[in-house]
Amino acid sequence: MIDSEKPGSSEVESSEKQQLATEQFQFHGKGSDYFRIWIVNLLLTILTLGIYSAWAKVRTKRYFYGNTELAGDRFEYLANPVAILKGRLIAVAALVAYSLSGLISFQASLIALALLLLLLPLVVVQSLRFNSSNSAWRGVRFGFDGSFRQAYPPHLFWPLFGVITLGIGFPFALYKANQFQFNNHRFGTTRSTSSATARGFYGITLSVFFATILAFILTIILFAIVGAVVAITGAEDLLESADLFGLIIFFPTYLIFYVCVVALYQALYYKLVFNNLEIGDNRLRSSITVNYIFVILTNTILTIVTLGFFYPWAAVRRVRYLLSNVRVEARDLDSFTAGEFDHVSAQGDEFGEAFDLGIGF
Amino acid sequence: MNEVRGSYFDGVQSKGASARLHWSAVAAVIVTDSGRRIEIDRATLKVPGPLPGTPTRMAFGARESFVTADAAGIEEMRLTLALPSGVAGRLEKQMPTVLASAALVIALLASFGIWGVPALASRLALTVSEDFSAQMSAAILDQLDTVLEPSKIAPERREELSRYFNSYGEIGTLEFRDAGIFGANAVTLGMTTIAFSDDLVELAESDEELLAVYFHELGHARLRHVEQNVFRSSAWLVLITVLTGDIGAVGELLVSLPLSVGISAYSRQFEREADAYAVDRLIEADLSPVFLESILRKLESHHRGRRDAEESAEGGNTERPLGENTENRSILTSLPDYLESHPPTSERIAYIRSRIDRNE
Repeated sequence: MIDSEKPGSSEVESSEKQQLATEQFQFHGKGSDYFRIWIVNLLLTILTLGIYSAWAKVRTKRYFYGNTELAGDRFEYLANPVAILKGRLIAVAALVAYSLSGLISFQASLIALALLLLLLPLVVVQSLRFNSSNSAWRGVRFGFDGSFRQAYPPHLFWPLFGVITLGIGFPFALYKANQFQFNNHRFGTTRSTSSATARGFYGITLSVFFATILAFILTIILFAIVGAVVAITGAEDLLESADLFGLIIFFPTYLIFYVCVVALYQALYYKLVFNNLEIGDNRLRSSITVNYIFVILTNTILTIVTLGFFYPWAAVRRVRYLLSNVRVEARDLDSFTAGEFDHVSAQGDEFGEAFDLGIGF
Repeated sequence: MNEVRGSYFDGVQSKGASARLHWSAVAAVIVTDSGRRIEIDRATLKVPGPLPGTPTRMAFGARESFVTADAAGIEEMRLTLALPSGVAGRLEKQMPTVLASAALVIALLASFGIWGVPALASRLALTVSEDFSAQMSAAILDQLDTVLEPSKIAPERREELSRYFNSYGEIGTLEFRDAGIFGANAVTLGMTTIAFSDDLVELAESDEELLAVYFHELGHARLRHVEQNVFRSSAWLVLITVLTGDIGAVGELLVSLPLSVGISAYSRQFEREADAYAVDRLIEADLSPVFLESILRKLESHHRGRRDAEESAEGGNTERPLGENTENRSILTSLPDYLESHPPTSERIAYIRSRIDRNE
C-alpha cells in the first residue's frame, strides 16, 4: 500500500484500483496576480454602481478555483454572472424590504424577520446547488441533491432548539447542518458522505468556549498590569480621559482575541469536516493546526495597517495554508462520471445564487 | 497550424488526456497523445477572457473542454482569431492600468464618502413625507420608552414650555421623559418630534436656556438631520455590501472601522449646523446666543459630575461603552475628538462667542 506524505505526489495506480495514493491539494495563486484582478473588480464594480459585482465574483472564483490543483488537474468555476446578478438583486430587494418594515412598525419588522427565517433554508439549498453545480474538476461537475424539505430541520428547527436550550443544542444543530450539507454533495454521480459526529461538534464548541474564557482572563490580567504600571509611574493623567486607553489597549486587545477565537473555530471546523469527508472510496485528510490562527491574525493586522491593500495577499495566503493542509487518500480519481449535466446547469442558473453563503470548497 | 499543449476532458469521465490543440483561422482540432482526433465545432467553442496567472479552460461541444497553461499560445490564438479579452482582462494585463485603477478606486471611494453620500442623503431626505417621518419617530420613541420613564414634571409646566417653544417655531410632537441614567439631554427623533429629559428641564436656570436647546433641536428637525442619517447609513450599507461582496470577512472589519469614524464626523457637522440654526433663531427672537452658551456649559459640568460619580462608585478606571446609540449620546463624553458625535464643547462655545461678537 502506497501511503506517501510527499506534497504534490501523484502516484495514482490506475491499473490497480484498490491501491491507495495520497494526493496533496496545491494552490498556485499569487497575491500580486490576485491584486490585479481584485483592484480592477473594485473599480468596475464602483463604476457600474454594483452591477459588475456579479462578474467580479465569477472572476475571483475562477482565479481561486483555476489555481487549485489536485492530482495534476485544476478546479473550474463555471457560473454565469447573470444568474448571480439576478440572485443579488433579489437579495438586495429582500434586505430593503426588511429594513423598510422596521420603519412601519416593530411588529412589521418581526413579521419580516420571521419570513426571512422561513425562507433561509430555501436560500441555503439554492446556494449550495448553484455553487456545487458550477464547480468542476477534470470536466466533471459537482452537484447537490439536498431537497428544500430536508433543509428545514437543520436550518430552522435545530437552531431554534439551540436557542430554547440556551445554546446547549447549538452544536447539535451544527452537526445536523453538516450532515445535510456533506451527505448530499456529489461529484458527478458519486455522493459524498460525512462521518463527523455530534460529539465532534460538541468538542469544537467546548474548545472555543474555553478559549473565549481564557481570552477573557488574559484581558483582565493585561488590564490589571496596565493599571498597576499606570499607578506606579503616576501616569494617570495620560489615561485620564480613557481615550488613549481605548485606542491603544482596549481595541487592539479585543481585536486580537476576537480574531484568534474566530480563527480557532474555523481551524477546528475545517479539520473536523475534512477529516470525515469521503467521496466514493476516497477520503479527505486534513493536517490543519493552530498555525492557521497565526496566518489569520497576521493577515488581519497587515490588512488593517495597509488600509485594505494587503487583502489580496491575505486571501491567497489563507487559501494556500488551508489547501496545503488537505490531501486526498485516493483509491480512484479517474472513474467518476458526470450525471445529467444539462439539467443541473439549468437549475442552478434559473434560481441564481440568492445569497453568498460561502459554503462549499 | 498553430499548436497549444494541454489536457482534454470529455466531460463524462474524470480522466483527462494529454493533448495538443491545433488551430488556424478556419479550423481547430485536438489530438491526444494516444492519437485520438477530436474535431472542434467552432460555433460551440468558448474561449474565456484572460485571467492573470490562471490556466485557460475552453469549452466546446456539449460538455467537452480543453485546459492549457500556455498563456502565450492562447494569447496568440486570441489575437489571430480576434477573440475578445474583455475590459477587465485588458486592465489587469498591464501594471500602469492596474495602478491607475487603484488610484481611481481610492479617489472614487473618498469622494463618494465626502460628497456623494451627504448630497444623495440630503436630496432624498427632502422626499420624505411628514406622516412617514412621524411614524418613524413614533417607532423610535416606542423603543426608547423601554428604557425611559414617564416624565415626573408637572403637566402644567410641560404645557407651559410647549406653548412657549411652539410660539417660536412649531413642532408636531414635543415629549418629556425621565431619562434616568442618561441624565440631562434632548433629542430630535425626526422632522416632527423632539424629546426633552426631565433632568435638562431642571438643570436650566431660565426658560430662555431651554429655548436655546429647543432651537438647536429644531435645527436638527427642520434640516431633516434624522432623515438624512437614515439615508446616509443606507447608502453606506449598500456600498459596503457591494464592496465586501468582493472583499471578504476581514475586509468587512476593515471597512467598518473607518466608517464609524466617518459617521461621527458627519454627525459633528450636523451639530454645527444645528448650533448655527439655534444662534440665528435666538438673534431673530431678540435673545442673546449667550443662553445657548450657558446651557452648554451647564450640560458639560452636569455630565462630567455624573461621570466622576460613576467612576468613584465603580472604583475608577471603567471602560466607556463605545457603541452608544447616536440618540443616546450625551452632550459631552471623553472620546477622542474624531470619534465624538458632538464637537468639543469648547469649540461650540468659541463659535457662539464669535457670533455674539459679530452681532454686536
